[in-house]
Amino acid sequence: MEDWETVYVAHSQRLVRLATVLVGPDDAPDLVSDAVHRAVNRPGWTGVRDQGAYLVTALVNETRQFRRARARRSAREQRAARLVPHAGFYELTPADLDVRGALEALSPQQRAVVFLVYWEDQQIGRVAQLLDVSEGTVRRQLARAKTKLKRVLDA
Amino acid sequence: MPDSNRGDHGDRLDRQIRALVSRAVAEAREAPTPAEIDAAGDRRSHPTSSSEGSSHGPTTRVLLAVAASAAVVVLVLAAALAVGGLGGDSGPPRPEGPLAFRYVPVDLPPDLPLTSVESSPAVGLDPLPHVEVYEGRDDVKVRITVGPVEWAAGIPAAGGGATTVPATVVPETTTTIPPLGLPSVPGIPMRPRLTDAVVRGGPAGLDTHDATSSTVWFADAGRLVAVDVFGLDAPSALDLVDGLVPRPDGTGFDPGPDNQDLSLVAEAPARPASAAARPTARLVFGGGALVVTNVQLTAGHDDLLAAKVGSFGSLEDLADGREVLIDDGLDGGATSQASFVDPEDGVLVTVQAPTGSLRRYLDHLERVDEQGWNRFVAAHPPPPTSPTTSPPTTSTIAPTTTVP
Repeated sequence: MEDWETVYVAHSQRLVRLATVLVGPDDAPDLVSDAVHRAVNRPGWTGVRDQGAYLVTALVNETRQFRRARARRSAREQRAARLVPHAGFYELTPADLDVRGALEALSPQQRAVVFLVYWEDQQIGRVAQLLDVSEGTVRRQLARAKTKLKRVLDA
Repeated sequence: MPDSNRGDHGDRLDRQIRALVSRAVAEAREAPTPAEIDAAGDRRSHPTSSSEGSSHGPTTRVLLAVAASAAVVVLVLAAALAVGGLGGDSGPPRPEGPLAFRYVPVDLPPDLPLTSVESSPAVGLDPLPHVEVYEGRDDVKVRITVGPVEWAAGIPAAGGGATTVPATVVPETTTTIPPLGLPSVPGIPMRPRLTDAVVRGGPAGLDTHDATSSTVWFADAGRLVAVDVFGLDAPSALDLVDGLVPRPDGTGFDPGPDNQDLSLVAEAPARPASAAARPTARLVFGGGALVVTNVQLTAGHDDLLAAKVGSFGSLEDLADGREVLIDDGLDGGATSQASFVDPEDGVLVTVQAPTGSLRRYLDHLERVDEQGWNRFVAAHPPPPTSPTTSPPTTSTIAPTTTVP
């Protein structure tokens, strides 16, 4: 087993869960594949000190391109097929409208912060390390995420 | 929960969020195996169309930063938000060579043809100023930027600046604000929001970005100083600036006894003009109606830019979740500029367009690699004799070198 595989296997469950929060369950495996493949093939991968954190950050970064590409692809497909636009996050059912709708209101970084704080119970300092941002940024993003979620949940 | 910033079990909203995340996570499927990841990589390395191939750039850096600004025309075109990138050492090194990745707009309307492609190897916003970042209680963040007054005397902006800006693009106004009269400062960019203020016993300019962020400009001993304050209202920001104490060695300011809660978290010393080269590429559409500039930051420069928080504009979330700093105050409000730093490869991206159109174009920005870049230029060749090109430091990129 290659070195990166060992690191990946150790973090794979966390990554796929985070990806599920970021883009939904249907696209999560693809997002993880893309992010991990890109990250471990970078020239500097072997020099990364905290490779687990690196993969987390790479996953969040990958989300931006992923969402953008998917939105464009969806728009093209809708134009081609003359489809009625549907929810962009993933195909919604009434039962999970509140979950998807609420998370859709957040940016990828905010989703990641919410996941790490509320699911993994990470300290702010560790969240900052995992996302490679300052603690102040984490607090700010967490506060903004809570404000957005409150708005959605109270609606 | 020892950390008050974590989700508090006792709060109703926190319980709701915890339940929400639990429900989302419960839908998680099996993680792909290493073999599946390798297979996915193989598929991606053989794209079937230019659009698929260009929708992915290599993931690299862990800097989740962002955004940028156009400050004094000369001073900064942009700056990143996430100071967390400062001093980070877990990512791969920045490329020092030619521009590695570029952003190009896709799906533009037909009335915005590509009119010029410009590249510039090593001009920019040097000399680089002295920058310090402080953090205080309640998420207060202060960034102090100190530089020579020559900033305001026509030094090219980031990415090639004045010498490569097409003539059809109206540059920012740099006239000194008459009511302020700052005689020792040749120019402070005219912005609709900029108002008169007094700090440290002299005239200053106050730019209030929102309820809790603002920038104070003033002159001090022949230097131009910009203090970005986040987490305080404008009056408190002015009070904070009043309390700053200049250092005897002239490098900058200490927080002073009135700001004892501020702690230095990052510092980037001033650098001479020859410090580094920043390859730049610029796409001009519609004769200047849309200008996309990409500046490859070199190692170390991203840290400095990250420290130079945006002095004008406000942070906004785009549809894809990226935070950008948008300034609607250029050209008297007729032109807007968005700035951000690509989090993965240290490319500073600025987009200028008429106010009202900018955000629409931002939704169509796509990051491409070298191959995608050449495909793009080959697919949208600019006219051979564009009136907007030919400054001495500009060369037209040959679009056919690597097109398959």
